[in-house]
Amino acid sequence: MAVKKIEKHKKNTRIFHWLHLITFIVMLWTGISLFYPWTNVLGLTFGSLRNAAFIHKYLGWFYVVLPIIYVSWNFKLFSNFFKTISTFTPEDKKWLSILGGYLHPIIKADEIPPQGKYNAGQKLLGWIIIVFSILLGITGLVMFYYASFPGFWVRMAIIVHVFCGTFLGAAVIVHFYLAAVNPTSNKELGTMLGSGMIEEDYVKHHNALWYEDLKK
Amino acid sequence: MTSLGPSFGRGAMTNPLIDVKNSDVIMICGGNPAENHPAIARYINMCKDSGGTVISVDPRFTRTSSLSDIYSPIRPGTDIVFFGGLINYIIQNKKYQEVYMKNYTNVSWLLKPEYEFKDGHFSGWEEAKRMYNYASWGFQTGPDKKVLKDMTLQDPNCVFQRLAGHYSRYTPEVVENVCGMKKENFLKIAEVYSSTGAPEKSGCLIYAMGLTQHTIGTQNIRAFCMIQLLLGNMGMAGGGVNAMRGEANVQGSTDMGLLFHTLPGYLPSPNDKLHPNLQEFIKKSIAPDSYWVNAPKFIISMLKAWYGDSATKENNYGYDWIPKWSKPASWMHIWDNLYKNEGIKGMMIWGQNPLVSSPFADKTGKALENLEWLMQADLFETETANFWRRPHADTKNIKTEVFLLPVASMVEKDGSATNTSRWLQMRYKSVEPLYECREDSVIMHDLIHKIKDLVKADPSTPSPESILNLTWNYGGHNHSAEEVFKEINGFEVATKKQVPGFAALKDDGSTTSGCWIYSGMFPPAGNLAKRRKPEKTGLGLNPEWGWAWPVNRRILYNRAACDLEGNPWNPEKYVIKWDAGQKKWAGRDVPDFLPTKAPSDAGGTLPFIMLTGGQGRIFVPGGIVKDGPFPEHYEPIESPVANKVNPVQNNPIAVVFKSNIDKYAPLGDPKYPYICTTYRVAEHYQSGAITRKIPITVEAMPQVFAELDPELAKELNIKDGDDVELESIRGKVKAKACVTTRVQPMTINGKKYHVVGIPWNWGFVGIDPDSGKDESFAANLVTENVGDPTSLIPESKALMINLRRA
Amino acid sequence: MERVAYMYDSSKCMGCRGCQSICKEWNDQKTDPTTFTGVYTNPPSLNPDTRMIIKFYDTFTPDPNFNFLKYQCFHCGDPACVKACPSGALFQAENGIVAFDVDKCIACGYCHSACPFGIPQIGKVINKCDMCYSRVMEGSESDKTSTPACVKSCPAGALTFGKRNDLVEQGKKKVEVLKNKGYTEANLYGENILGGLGVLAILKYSPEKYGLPKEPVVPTDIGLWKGILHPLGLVMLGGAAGFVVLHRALNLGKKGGDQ
Repeated sequence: MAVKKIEKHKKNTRIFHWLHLITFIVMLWTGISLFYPWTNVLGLTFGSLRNAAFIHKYLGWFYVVLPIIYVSWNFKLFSNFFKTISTFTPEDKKWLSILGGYLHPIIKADEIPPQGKYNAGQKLLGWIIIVFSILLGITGLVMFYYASFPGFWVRMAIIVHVFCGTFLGAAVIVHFYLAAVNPTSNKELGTMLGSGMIEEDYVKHHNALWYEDLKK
Repeated sequence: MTSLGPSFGRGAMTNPLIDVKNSDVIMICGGNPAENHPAIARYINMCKDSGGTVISVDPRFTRTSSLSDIYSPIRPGTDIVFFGGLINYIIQNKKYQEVYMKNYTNVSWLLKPEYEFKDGHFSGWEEAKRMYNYASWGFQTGPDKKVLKDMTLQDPNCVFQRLAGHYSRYTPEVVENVCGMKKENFLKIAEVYSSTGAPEKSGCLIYAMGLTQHTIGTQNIRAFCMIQLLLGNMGMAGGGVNAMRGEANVQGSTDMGLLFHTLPGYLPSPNDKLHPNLQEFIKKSIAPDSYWVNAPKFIISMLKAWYGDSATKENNYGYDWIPKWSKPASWMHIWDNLYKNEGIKGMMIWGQNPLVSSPFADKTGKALENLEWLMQADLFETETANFWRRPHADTKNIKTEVFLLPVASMVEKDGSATNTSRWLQMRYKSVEPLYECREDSVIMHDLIHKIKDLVKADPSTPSPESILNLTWNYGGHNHSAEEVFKEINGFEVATKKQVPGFAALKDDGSTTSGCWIYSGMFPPAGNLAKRRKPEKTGLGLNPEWGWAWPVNRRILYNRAACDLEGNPWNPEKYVIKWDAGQKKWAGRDVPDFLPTKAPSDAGGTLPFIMLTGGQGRIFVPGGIVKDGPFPEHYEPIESPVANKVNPVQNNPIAVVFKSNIDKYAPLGDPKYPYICTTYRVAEHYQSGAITRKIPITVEAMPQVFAELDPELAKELNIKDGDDVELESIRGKVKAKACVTTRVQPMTINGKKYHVVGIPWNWGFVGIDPDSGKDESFAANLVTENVGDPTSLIPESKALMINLRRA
Repeated sequence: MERVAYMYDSSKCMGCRGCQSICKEWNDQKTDPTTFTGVYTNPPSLNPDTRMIIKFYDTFTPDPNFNFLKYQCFHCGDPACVKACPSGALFQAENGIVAFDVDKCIACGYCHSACPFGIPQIGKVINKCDMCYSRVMEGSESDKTSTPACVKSCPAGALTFGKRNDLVEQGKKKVEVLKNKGYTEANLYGENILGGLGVLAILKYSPEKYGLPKEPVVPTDIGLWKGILHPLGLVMLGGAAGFVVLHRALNLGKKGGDQ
């Protein structure tokens, strides 16, 4: 019997995610090489630290422009997504309070409340990525045109930029682990980098509320 | 120059540049040395460090004024009123150095009773001929033909009394009314500067084109000379009349006979009427009772240098071969002649840019069109080389054949430059000339030899010997500057041994010397201009750095730095002193005096050895300075006001060129209400022919600008950076506006007048942003062809214009 | 090693721009198109091709006046730019000169934003006065190639190079002389600010007139930069890695499928 699958992510979304992901990795890699002296050596991947800086400065425009294009072309789709991640149900709040059960038994989680299409953690991640990417874009712009802004604003922008970039990097590390490595959740990988489809059984278990919605 | 010679005996800066650090007071008038002779700024600063005071008097507050302690503006062209005011102040307040004045100047000489100054003219004015008969400008002589003197200075005919009378009209009120200089400023300046009349104090006067480029330019400097003689500042360390010559080697050029009316060493240029033969020439060159009594030795030695063995006593050393001038060929005369097509057919222009630097661009451009051929030798293409396609030229109808020869720059050839302080310093070839550039001397070598061939081939050439007999052995294509210097220095014909100095020159054909004042520069010991030994302490005379003419003398007239007994007026800054034990003059400088002549000997107290009578001239007799024995104020040819000092508006014998193109704005013409003056900027050199091809200087000072005061700017609705247009009756030029309080309106006789200034370093060829447009940005589009009667220098510093936003 | 410095005496300066020209020449800098805007100052400000300019002022007093300022990096004793530079391109030498290794510069512009004067200019890489570091370190005294090019070129004697302590003493004396001449605002700029500047300026008027900050300080947030953000970043990334490790450790043996 063929495994029954549900479509979680459309093709446009998958392509966008893939492109943005590559861009982000390069941005993180170059960014970290530039702003942390003990990681300067990472810059050599691109030949020299100055090359890493050049790539970071100009690829950053792509990092910001790509989502704008994606959202414009898939506005309805994105609106739905945005609505989903903006709704935090009592189940979501419970989920967050036990950290999704990931660190049981350190953070006790006897029962994981049922989740929607995206669990609370994923919703939170969605917000983090959107908000912090916007912050990175704005502060990045100020840094790009440092000569046109008063020194104080540029220095503040640098601090916010570095913080956001590093934080986002940390979040993405966790996201990557859970989405692609952790055996109990790495089936999600296929929804974004594969066919976009996820097994029905998985959905029943992990995204019970979404399954119920789909049944309607 | 034309004032220094008549006043002191030699037409050159009297003290070294470094010497200004020794002054108690420096006064800079009509000059901007900080921008145009920046090397002197160090020494002006040292003067201030030692407690000296610096005064700057200039129509604008310049970068030089920024170094001064006291500044006053002055209306362009009214300097004689200011200087006359100073002379009056010095006399009225008895600030003169009395012993010095009485003994070292001609204040005690008795003038002929017919001499007078009345109603704007000196005695001997012949209205019909519009010239002076100079007979009355002279002294009373006794039966022994010696000049009569009155050492008490009481005789109404003595120079002192006439001087006092002449300048009694120049009161502080007159200074304020005519010059626009506030009375309290004038009195402050007068008090400070005249304090140098104290015997041990010295003050120096620094000037440049701002004083000389007027129709009364020579008289401006004469006034300076007189002030220094009255205050006893000549010959002293920190004293002197210090001309900042207008170009890095113009001193060397005039020393070597560049001017039309002089030969090397300032011998007169032979004139067909005055000097028809060698005997007349020699007779007229000798000034009895002065060092010029040796003129024959210099003349003959020079002719021997030119013609070598061909010059013999029998052929008057070749004197008859050389052309004599009959019409004046001063700068403005040349262009007038060319404009009117009166004879000049071809022209060789070496390292010069007349289309920008000549007084009247339009006339100069049209004059150039009359040339059959033009040769321009320069580092770059200049405006002049491009005259045939200059903005608004009718190129199709210009038939001149133009040759542009690329020449080597100063770092690509050996040679020397004589700076404004008379120091000859060697310059060395650091690199071979690039591409096709050649040294001027190499080009000249080829030229002369080709001309010799042509002359030899054409028997109809007048005076062929003048060319064929020229000796020209300087190494040919391997030009040797040393060979030239040896010939300039001079040598004994028989032994070829270098002479030690001009004292060794003879008038019997046994010696040569290309330029007697440089004789001594290359003695048997070697080329002294190569020396580079700085002095460690002392006055800054640096006797072993380079070589100064004459005979390495650094401060001219230094006998005057000592009193009648030979003791220095200022023992600490002594220059020379009489050593009674050794029976000679000695000290830190070469004495400008016969070393063995004791103060008690006849003539032992006469320091100005180049002048007849040995005393500095407060009164210059005989029309040596053509427009007056005393300076007198006349308004510039273009002026907004009538002359309030005497009824004659302009210098009666100013040289004013007349042609269908020469026009002058009438007095008070409302179409040209603003006073205009011209100057340079530090960043550009002369016409900008070189510096407007150098990116760094163009970046620092890209465009020509007009400086005007904020009041005028408001009236005309002009803001910083706006395009403005200056217009004189002769032409227009555009510039960028520079609105600044460094230029101030002046109140002349109760009415307000504005001054507008513009630098003249721009044209239309270069990498500066305004070149290559169909427009020239040279200031000489507005200036005029009028000149000083003695020096024939054009009056570029005072003219009338209109100004508007462009 | 004793701290070196050079002193600019604006009362001796005449604004000839010999220094500006020789700086361009010695450092092989490009020139840029300029126009006359109403003041002699050109280029109008420092830029990626211009390390040093002379600034002209003629409005300090109601009477006609002309004042100048030689404007370039002031070589702070406590250089904010060095603190801020992420790649370590900027450094402070033992003798106090603040110089940079062009090969390490990443053109981020942080130095420009950190500098209290906003002096470093960034084109492809940083450009600012480095007090002719290579001349000072490798030149010889005998032919004066061991002084900065500007100092050597000044015809007016307005620039002196040497031991900073000596120059401060001379500068203070000159300020007294100027005060006695009536320049009541005369001051020695750079004596103590920012750890003491390596370029001292004897000014006739107060610094604000020249557009100089009277009491500039190293921005406090510079310390925030390397002092706090670096460790914080470490914590964040370390935390993420730690979560991963912890999770794995807590879920050893659990294979895929349902939780």
